[in-house]
Amino acid sequence: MYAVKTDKLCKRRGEFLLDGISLELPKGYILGLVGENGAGKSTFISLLLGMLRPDAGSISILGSSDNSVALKNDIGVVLSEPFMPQCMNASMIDKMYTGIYKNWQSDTFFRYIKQFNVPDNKVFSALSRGNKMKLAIASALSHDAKLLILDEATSGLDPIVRDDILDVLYDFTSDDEHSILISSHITGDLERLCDYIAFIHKGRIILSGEKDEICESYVKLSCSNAELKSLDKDALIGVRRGEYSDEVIAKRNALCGLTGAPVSLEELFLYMVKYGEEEK
Amino acid sequence: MVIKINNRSGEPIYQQLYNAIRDAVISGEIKENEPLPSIRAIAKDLRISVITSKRAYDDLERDGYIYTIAGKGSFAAVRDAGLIREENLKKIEAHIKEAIRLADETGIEYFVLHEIMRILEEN
Amino acid sequence: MKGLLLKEWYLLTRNFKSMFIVIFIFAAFGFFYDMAVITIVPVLIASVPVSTTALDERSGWSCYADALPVTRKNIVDSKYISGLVCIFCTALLFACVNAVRNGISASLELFIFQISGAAIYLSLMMPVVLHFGTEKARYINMAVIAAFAMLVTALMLAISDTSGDIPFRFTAPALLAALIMLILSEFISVLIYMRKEF
Repeated sequence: MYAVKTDKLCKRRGEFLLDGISLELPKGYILGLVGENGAGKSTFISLLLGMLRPDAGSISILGSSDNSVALKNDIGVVLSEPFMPQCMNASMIDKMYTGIYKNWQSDTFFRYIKQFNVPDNKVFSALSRGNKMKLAIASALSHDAKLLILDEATSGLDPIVRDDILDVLYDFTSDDEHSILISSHITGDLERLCDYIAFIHKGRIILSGEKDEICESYVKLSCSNAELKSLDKDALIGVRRGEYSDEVIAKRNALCGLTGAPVSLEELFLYMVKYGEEEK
Repeated sequence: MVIKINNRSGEPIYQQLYNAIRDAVISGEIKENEPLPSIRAIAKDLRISVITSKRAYDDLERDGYIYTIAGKGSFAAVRDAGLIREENLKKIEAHIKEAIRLADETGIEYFVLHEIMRILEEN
Repeated sequence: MKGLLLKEWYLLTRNFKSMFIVIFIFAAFGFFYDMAVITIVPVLIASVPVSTTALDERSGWSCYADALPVTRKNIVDSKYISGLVCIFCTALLFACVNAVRNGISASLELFIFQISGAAIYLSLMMPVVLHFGTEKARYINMAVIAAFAMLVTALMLAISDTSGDIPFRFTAPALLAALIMLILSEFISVLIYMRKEF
C-alpha cells in the first residue's frame, strides 16, 4: 500500500509546467523531494492537498483519491510560508483545531509546544520563523495523522532547531503505519533520514528511487583529461572542469579501473543539475 | 553493543551496521536467542533511514546471524561454530592479503613474512 | 465548522476592536439625535467578513485551509454566518436603543429593515470578493456602499412619513428579498470558491 502515489501528474501555471510527475511513497517510509527553488516542489504539494487541480494525471493518498474531509483528518501539513491567522496564540490555535480535527489531542499539542520551547502566550505574528515552524509541526503531529507532508519545513532554521525537528520526525516514523513526504532544497540533514529520494528539476523528476541504491550507484572522482575521455559518455552524470583536474560524478559500474569516493546527495544533485547540462 | 556509524567512510552504512551486529553476535556480546532492537528503533537511534537498517537486518538473516519471527522481531541466532570459523578465516585471509600487498610494495621477500609468522608463533 | 467559526470570532475580536467602539458611538449618537442617521451602520458592519477574508489571504490561511479537514463550502459558510451574526448583533443593539427612545413597534420595523439591507449588501459583496480577491474587490466594495447609501436614503425619504418611521408594509418584502438573495449568493459563492486555486 502506498501513502502517496501520483501518476503522470501535470499542471501548467503561467510559464511553469509541472510535467508528468509519477512518484510512489510506500507506507511506513520517508520520501525526500529534492529540488532548487522554483523546481516545482510546492506546486506538487499544492496538487496533493487540493489547493490546485491537476491538468492531467492522478493522485492517490493513503489509498484514497477523493480529497475528502476524512482523508484530511489523516494528514498533517507544514507549509513553507507562515499560514496561521496573525492574531492567534497557541491556546487559540488549540481551541480552533479542537473544532476542526476529529482526533485533536490538546495534551499532545501542548507537550510539543513545551518540548520545542515555543512561547505559548505570544500571537503568531510575533513568533520567530523557527517558532512558527515548530508550532506548525506541533499542530501537524497532534491529530493522529498517518501522513506528514512537510514543504521546506526545515529551511531557514538554525541547526539546533533542525535537529530538534529531525528527532521528532524519527519518533513519528517509529510507527510503521506512518509516512512522511518532505520537500527541501538542502539535502544535508535529509540525507540520513530519507528512505526514498526524488530529484525534481524544472518541473520534471530527473532521478528517483531508494536512497541507498542511488548513493551506491554513483561515485565522485577527480581525474585528468585523458582519464575523463576514457570514461563512457553515458555514464557521466556531471563534470566540473578545472585547470588542474576535472571533478566527475559517474556511474560506479562504468569506472574502467579508476577509483572514486562515495557521493553525497547534495553533490549528486548539484552535478546533475549544474554540471550535467553543460556537458551534454 | 556499540554500533559506530561513520558517514564519511566509503563503506555503505548498511554494511557498517551489518558488521557491527555480526561482530556482536559472533563475539557472544549478544547472547543466543536474545532479542535485537527493532529495525525502526535502531534507525531512529542511529539516525539512519529505515530501509538502510532493514537491509542490514535482511542481510544478517540471509547469512544466518539472526533470525526473525513475524510480529515479534529479530533475535541473535544460535552460534554455529563452523560459521564463526569460516568468518574468522575470511578475516585472516583479508589481513594476510594486506600483508602481502605491503610486502610487494617495498619488495620484501615472502620468506621474511614466513619468518615473522614463526617468531610470533614462538612468542 | 465549529473551529472555523471560532477562528472568525478570534479574527473579529482581535482585529476590529475599534469597530466596536464606533458602533457604540453611533448607538449613542442615534439615541441623542436621530435613529435614521444610523440606518446605514449595519451595512458597514456587514463588510466584516470581507475584511476577515482579506486577513485570511494575507496570512496564507486561505491556502492552508485546504490542508485541513474542512470543505470549501464550510469556509464560505463560516463567512456568511459570522457576517450575519455581526449584522444581527449591531441591529439588535440599535433596536434596543431605539426602543428606549421611540417605543417598541417603531424600532422593530427599523430593526428588520436594517437587517434586510445589510444582508442584501453581504449577499452582493461575498461573491464579488471571492471571485476577484479582496484587493480588486475594494473599489467595487466602495461603489456598492455608496450606491447603497444613496438608495437607502432615497428609499427612506420616499417611504417614511415625517417622523422617520418605516411603514410596516415595506419590511416584509425587504426581509423576503434579503432571504432569497442570501440563499442565491451563498450558492454562487460556494461555486466560485470551489473553482478557486491557491
